[in-house]
Amino acid sequence: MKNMEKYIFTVFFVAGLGIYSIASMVNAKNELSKFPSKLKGQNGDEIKETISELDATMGENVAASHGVIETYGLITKLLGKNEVNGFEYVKDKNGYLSLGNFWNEVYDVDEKALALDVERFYEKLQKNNTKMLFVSFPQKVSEKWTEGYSGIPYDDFSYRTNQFMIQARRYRIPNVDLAKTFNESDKSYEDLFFKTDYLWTSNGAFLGFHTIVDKIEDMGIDIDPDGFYRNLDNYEKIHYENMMLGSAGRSVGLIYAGGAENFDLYYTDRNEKYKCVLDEKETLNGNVKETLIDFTIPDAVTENKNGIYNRSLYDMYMSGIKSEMNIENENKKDGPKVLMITDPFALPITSWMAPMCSELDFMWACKHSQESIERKIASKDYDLVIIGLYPNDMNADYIHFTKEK
Amino acid sequence: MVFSSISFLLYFLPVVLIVYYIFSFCRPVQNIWLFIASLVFYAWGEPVYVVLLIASIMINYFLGLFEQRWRDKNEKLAKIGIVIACVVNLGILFVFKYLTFILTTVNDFAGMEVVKVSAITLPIGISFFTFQALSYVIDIYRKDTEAQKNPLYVGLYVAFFPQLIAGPIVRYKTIAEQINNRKTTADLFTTGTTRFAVGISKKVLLANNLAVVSDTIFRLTQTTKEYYSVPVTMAWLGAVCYMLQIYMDFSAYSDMAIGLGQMFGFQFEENFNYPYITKSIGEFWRRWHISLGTWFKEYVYFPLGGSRTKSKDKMVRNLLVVWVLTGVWHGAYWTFVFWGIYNLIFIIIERVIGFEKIEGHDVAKHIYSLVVIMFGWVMFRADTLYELNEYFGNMFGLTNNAFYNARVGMFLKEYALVFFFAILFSMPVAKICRKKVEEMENSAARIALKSLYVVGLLSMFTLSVICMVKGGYNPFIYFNF
Repeated sequence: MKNMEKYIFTVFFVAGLGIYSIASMVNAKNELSKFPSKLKGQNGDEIKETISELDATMGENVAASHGVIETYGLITKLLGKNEVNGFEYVKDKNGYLSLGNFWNEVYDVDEKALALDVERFYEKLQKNNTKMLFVSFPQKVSEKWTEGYSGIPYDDFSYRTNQFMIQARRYRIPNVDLAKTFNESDKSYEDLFFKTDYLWTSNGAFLGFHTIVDKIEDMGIDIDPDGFYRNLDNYEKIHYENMMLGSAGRSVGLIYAGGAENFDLYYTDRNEKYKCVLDEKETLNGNVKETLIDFTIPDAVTENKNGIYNRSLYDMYMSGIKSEMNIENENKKDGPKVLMITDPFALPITSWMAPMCSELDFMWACKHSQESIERKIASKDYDLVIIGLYPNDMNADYIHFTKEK
Repeated sequence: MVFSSISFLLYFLPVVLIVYYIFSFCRPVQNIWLFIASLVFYAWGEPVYVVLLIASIMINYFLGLFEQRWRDKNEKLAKIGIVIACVVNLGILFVFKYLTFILTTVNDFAGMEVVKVSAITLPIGISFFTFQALSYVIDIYRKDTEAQKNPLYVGLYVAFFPQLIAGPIVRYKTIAEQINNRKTTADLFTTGTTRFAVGISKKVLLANNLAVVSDTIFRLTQTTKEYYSVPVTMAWLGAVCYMLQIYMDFSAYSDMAIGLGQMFGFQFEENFNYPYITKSIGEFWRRWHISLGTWFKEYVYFPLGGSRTKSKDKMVRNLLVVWVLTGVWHGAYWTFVFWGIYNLIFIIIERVIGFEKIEGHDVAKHIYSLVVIMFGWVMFRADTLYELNEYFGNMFGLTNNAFYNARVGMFLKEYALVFFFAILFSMPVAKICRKKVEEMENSAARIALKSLYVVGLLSMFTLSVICMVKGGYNPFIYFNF
C-alpha cells in the first residue's frame, strides 16, 4: 500500500490521542463539573475569565501529569540543559535550582525611593513608641556558594539588595542583613538552603532567627531574656527523610531535580496555648501542634505516590503562607506585641517567635495595600514591627508603607 | 483556543472528529456540526466577539445573494452592493484595528488630545475572516462562483475553525465545491494527521523555543541602553531567532490548519513554499503567506491594473498601494507601514534591474535575500520606531555596546538543537528525503527508513504533547492580526 507509513502513524495518533483524551476527561470530570453553574448570569468579561479558568483546569488535570512532567525532566536532563521550560528554572553546577531571571541586570528599581518609604514608615511608628526592624533575608544565589554555568541567568538580586541596604543604613533604619550573617557563618550551602526550592532550610532559618532575636534584644526588647529560644537544643526535632520537594522541584520533576530532599522540623513545646486566626476565616485553638505546626502535611505527602508533588513540608510551619495571621499566646500575656510584614521566608520564624510574644501578627506584604497596613498598625499598640523581605521582594509590590503601589 | 493547547487537542478535536464521522451518512449534518464547532472554537477565546463573527457571516450572506441577483440584471446595483460589502467589511476591520491608531496619530500631530481615544480590543482573527468574507462577495460579483443559498454553509466557509484565526485565507471559489461534494478518504485523512503532527511539532518544539530567545532579546532591547546594553552578537542572534521563529510559528499553524482541513475532507492551498531558500525578495513573497499575497493580487493589484499598465509609474503606484496595505494589514503601527514600504523598495529595484533574470550568483543572491528579509523582520517585530532604532544600533555597535557577552554563548549552547533543526527544516530537506526514499530500489532500506519516519514523527508528536502538558511559553505571532 502506498504511504503505508502515514496509515501506521495515523493508527497510533488516533489511538493514542483517543486514550489520553478519555483518561484526561475522566481525571478532570470532578473539577469540570463545577463550571456550568459558574457561567450562569455572567457578563461577557466574566464569561471570558471563566472560560480561561476552564481552559487552565483542563490543562492542570490531564491524566498522568506527574509522569509527563518527569518525562519532560528526563529529556531535559538527557539533553544536558541547565535551564528548564524557557528559563523558568535554572541549575548550577551543584544541582541547585533557582528561578531564571534576565531582569536582575536591568537596574530600573529606585532603591532610594523604597528605602525612603521604609524610613518614613519607621518615623511614623516611632511617634507611637513602636520600634521597627528591617530584615533582609538571604538569597540562595550568591558568590560564596553558587557555582554557576557561564551565561545562565540566575536569580541574583545581590546588587539591588546591596543598594537598598546602603540606603537603609544611610537613613538609619534599624536593620539586619542576613546575607552577611550567612556569608560569615561556617555552615554549608546544603545546610542553609534547599536544592529544590528558593527558601532556606530549618537550619538556615534558625540561624536567621537567632540573629534577629539578638538584634531585638539589642534594641531593648526583652524578648528572650534567658536565651532559651535561641538554643536549638531546646527544640523538638523531627527528621523527614527524602520527603521534601520544593516549588522548583515540583515544577521540574524529581528526575531533573536529582531527587527529593530531607526536611528537619524544629519547634518548641512548653505547653503553651495559642489562638490562631488565619485570614480572618479559620480559627485554631490549642497547643503548638494544633496551631503553629501542621502535622497533617507529612501524611498528605506519603498518602499517595503523587503526594510529594502536592505539598511541601516547609508548609508545616504555620500551615503555609496566608495573607494574614493573628496569633495570641495565652501563656505570655506580658510578652511583646509584634507585627511582621513579610513574605514566605518568615514562616519558620513566625512559629518560633510566637512563644516569646503575647501577640504576633503576620501580614503577607504583597497582599495588603498601604491603607490596610495603616489600619493594622492603628489597631494595636505594637511594641515591634518587623519588615522582613527576600531580595526578589524588595520592590514596590511589597514596599508600600507610606504610599500606594 | 489554540491548536497547541490541551483543551483543543484532548477535548475539542476528538469530540468534533467523533461526531463528524458518526454523521458520515449525512453531509448537511456534518457541515452544520463543523459550523457549530467553529463558533464554539471562536467563542472560547472571544465569547463576546463571536457575535461580530456571526453578524459578519449574515451580512455577507445577504450581500452574496444580492450580488447573485443583480450582477447580470443591473450592473449599477451590483456595484453598489460591492461598495457596501467593502465598506461594511473593511469598516469593521477599520474600527477594531485602526481607529485607535488613527486617533492617536491625530492627537500626536496636534500635540494635544483633539479626540478622546479609548482602547478597543482587537478580536482574534479579524483580519483573516473579514478578508475571507469580502472575497466571497467579490467572487460572486465577478461571476467566479455562485452564491451559497444556505447561510450555515456561508458560515462554515467564513468561520471554519482550522483557518479562522490565522489562515490560510481561503477564497470561496476554491472551496465552494468541497462544502457539498468533498470526499473524505483514508488517504486524505492520514495525510491530514501527519501534516497536523508535523505542524504541532514545529510549533511546540521549534517556534516556542525560538520565541524564548528572541522575545528575551527584544525585551532587553526595549529596556533601552540606559538599563541594559545588548551586545552586538546578541542583537544578531535575536534577529536570526525571530526570523526562524516567525517562519516556524506561522508555517506550523498553516500545516495544522491544512492538516485539520484534510481530516475533514477539505483541501486547502499551500500557504508557504520554503521561503528561506529564496534568491530574491520578489520570489520570497511568492513563497511566504501565499494566500495573503494572492488575495492582494486578485482583489487589489489586478483591479488597479497590475503590471500591465502603459505607464510604469502606474505600476509603481499599484505596487505601493499593495505594499502599504500589506504592511497595514499586519498591524496598526508605523513600523508595519515602513516594513511594507521597505519590501516594496527592494521589489521595485529587483524589477527595474531584472534581478531574477540574472544568471548564476545563486549564493550571493541567496545571502542578499536572507539579509534583507532578516532586517525586514526586525522592523516587523519592533513595537515602535524608537525600539527599531535601538535594535539596529545594537546590531551595528552604535550604542556603545560590547560585541559579546556570556549570555550569547549560553543561548547558543542551550538551544543548539533547536537552531539546528529550525535551520534544517527551513529547507526542503524532508521533501527531498521523502522523494529519495520513494525512489529507492532496496525495499528493505525503504521500509526501514519509512519506519524511522513513523517512529520519528510519533516521538516528536509525543514530545510536543509532553511540552504542552508541562505548560510553557506558547505565543502565536499571527494572533495579533
